[in-house]
Amino acid sequence: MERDKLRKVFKRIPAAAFALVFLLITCSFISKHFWTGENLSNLGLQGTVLVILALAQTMVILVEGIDLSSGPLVSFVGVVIAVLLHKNFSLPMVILCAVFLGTLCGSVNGVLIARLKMPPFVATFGNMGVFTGLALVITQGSSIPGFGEAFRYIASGYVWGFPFMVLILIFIILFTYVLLYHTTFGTYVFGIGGNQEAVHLIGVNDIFFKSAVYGVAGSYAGVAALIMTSRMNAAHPLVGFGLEFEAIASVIVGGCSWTLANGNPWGTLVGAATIVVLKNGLNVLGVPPPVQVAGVGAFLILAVIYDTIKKKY
Amino acid sequence: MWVRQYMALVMRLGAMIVIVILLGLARPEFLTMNNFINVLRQSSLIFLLASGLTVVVLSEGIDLSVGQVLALSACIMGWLLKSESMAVAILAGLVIGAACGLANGVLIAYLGLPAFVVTYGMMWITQGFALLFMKAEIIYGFPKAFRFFGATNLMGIPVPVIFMFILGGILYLMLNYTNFGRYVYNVGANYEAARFSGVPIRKIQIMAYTLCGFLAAFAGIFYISRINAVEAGIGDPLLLPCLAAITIGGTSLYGGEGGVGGTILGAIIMSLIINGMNLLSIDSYWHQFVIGAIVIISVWVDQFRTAKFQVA
Repeated sequence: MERDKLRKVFKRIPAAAFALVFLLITCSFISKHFWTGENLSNLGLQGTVLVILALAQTMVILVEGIDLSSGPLVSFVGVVIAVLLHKNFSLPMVILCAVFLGTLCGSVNGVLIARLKMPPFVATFGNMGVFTGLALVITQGSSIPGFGEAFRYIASGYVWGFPFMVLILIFIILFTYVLLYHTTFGTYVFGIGGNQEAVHLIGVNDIFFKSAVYGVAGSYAGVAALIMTSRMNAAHPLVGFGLEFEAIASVIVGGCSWTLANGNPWGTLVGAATIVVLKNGLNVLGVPPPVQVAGVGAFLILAVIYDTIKKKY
Repeated sequence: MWVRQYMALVMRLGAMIVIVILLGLARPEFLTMNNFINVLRQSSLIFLLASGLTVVVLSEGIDLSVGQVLALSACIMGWLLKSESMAVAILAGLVIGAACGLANGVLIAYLGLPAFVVTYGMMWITQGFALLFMKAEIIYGFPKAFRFFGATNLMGIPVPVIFMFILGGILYLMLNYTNFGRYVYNVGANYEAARFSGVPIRKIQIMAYTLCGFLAAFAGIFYISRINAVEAGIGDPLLLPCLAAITIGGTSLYGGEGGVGGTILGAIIMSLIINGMNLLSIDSYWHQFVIGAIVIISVWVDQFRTAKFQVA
C-alpha cells in the first residue's frame, strides 16, 4: 500500500524535475557566475520565447499532434511585424496583427490536420516550408532592422524591476493554465487527446476544436514573434529555424508522453527550464551553439527512453 | 491492393506529362536536351538520398535525420579524401552513415521509441557532430577520380542519373522480389498482422534504418563530388525536397503503399517544377514555399484517392 502510493507520486514527477535539479547543482559547481543576476537574467531571456512556444506545443501534442512549423511561423510573423512597423502602423495595431496572423496560420495547420485528416507531421512540415518561403520572399533573404523605442520596450523594458518580457511570459503561463483547466475548451483539448471519437459522439464539434488548438498555438507563435523581433531589433526570415525543436523537446522532456497525450503545462515548464539550463551550462563550458543543440537532441532521446521505461513499470 | 499502387503511379506519370507539356508551351527552351539532362541530374541527386528514406517510410517509419547523416558522412569523407585513398574515404563515409542508421534502428526497434522523435533528435545530434567536426571550414578540391561520381557524363548521361536508375532497379527488385522487401511492406501495411504472421519486425526495422543511413552516405558521395566541396551545412536544405519526392511519388507515410518507382517519379516531377520556376524567372525564394505546398497537396490528393483517414 505504501509502496503503491510512493510509486504514484514518483510517476507524476516528470523526469525533467530530477534532471533540472541535477543540472542546477552541476552548473553551480562549474561556474561561480551561474547564480549572478546577470546570468539569471540571461536565462530568463532565453527561456521566454522557448516557454511560450513550448506551451503552444504542449497543447498541440495533447491533441495527438505536433507542430513543426512554429519556428518558421515566428520568422514569418516577425517579418510581417517589421514591415508593418516600417509602414508606421501603430503599436497596438501591430500587436493585434501579429497575434491575428499567427492564429490564422495556425488555423491553416489546424484545418489541414483536423478537417482534411492529414498527418500532423506532414501538414506542419509542409507549412514549415510555406512559412519560410513567404518570409524569404518578403525580405528577399535579408533582414529588416531598426525599430522604434516603443516597440523595443516589449523585450527590453522594465516594469518594477522585472523585465517586461517576463511579465508577458507569466501572463501567458497563467493564461494557458486557465485555458486548459478552467474552460470548456481546455476540457475538450484533453478529451480530444484522450479519445477523439468519444468527444465526437458526445456531440461536440471535435474537428473545430482540434483545429482551434492549432490556431491558439499559432497565436502563441505570434506573441513569441513580437518578443523575438523586439529583442533582436530586427526581423530575419530564418531566425525561427529550429525553435520548434526545443519547444518539442521541452514538452517531451517535461513528461508529456508522446503517445498517451497525458501532458500538462507544468511538466513542460520544468522541461523548458531544464533545456535552458542545459544550454546555458554547455555555453559556459565553451560548447559551440550547434553542439548545444545536439546536446539537447541527445537529452531528448534520453528523456524518451526514460519515458518508455517508466511506462513499462 | 496493387491496382491502387499502380493507380498512384499512373496519376503521377500523367501529372508529369502535363507539366512537361505546359512548360514546353510556356518556355520553348525547356524542351532542349540539355535542359532535360539538367532536370534528370537534379532529380537523381534528390532520389539517391530519398531512396533509403523510401524503404523506411514503407515500413511505416520515418527518418528525419537523413539530410544530416549525409552531411556528417560527407564531411568525414571529404576530410579523408585529402589524406587517404578514395576507397578508404568512401568506405569510411558509408560506415558512418550505416552506423547512424543503425543507431536510429536500434533505438526505434529495440527500445520501442517513437521513430519521429528519435530521428528528429538524431537530426540535431548529427548536425552538431558535423559542425563540431568541420569547425565552420569548407573542404574543397577533390581528386579527379572522385569527381567521376558527380561531375562526369557517360555517353552524355550524368553519372548520378545512371546510378539513380541502377539503384532504383536494385531497390525495386529487392522490395518486390525478396523476403526482406515483402516484410517491409507487411510491417508497413499492418504491424500487428505482420507480428502475428511471424515477420521478424525488429530485424526488418533495424535493417531498413541502417540501409537508409547507408544510402544517405552513398548519396553524399555524389553531392560532394558534384560541387567539389563539402561543409557542415550541406544537409540542411535536403530533407524537405526528399520528403517531397517521396510524398509526390505516392508512397504513403503510413507505410505499406508506394515504392521506389514512385520516388523516382516524385523526384523528377519536383525537379521539373523547380526547373520550370527557374525558367519562368520566379523568385528563387518561392521555392521553399512551393515545395512545402506541393507536399501538402500531394498528401491531400492521396488521401482523397485512398480514403485513408486518421482514426482518433
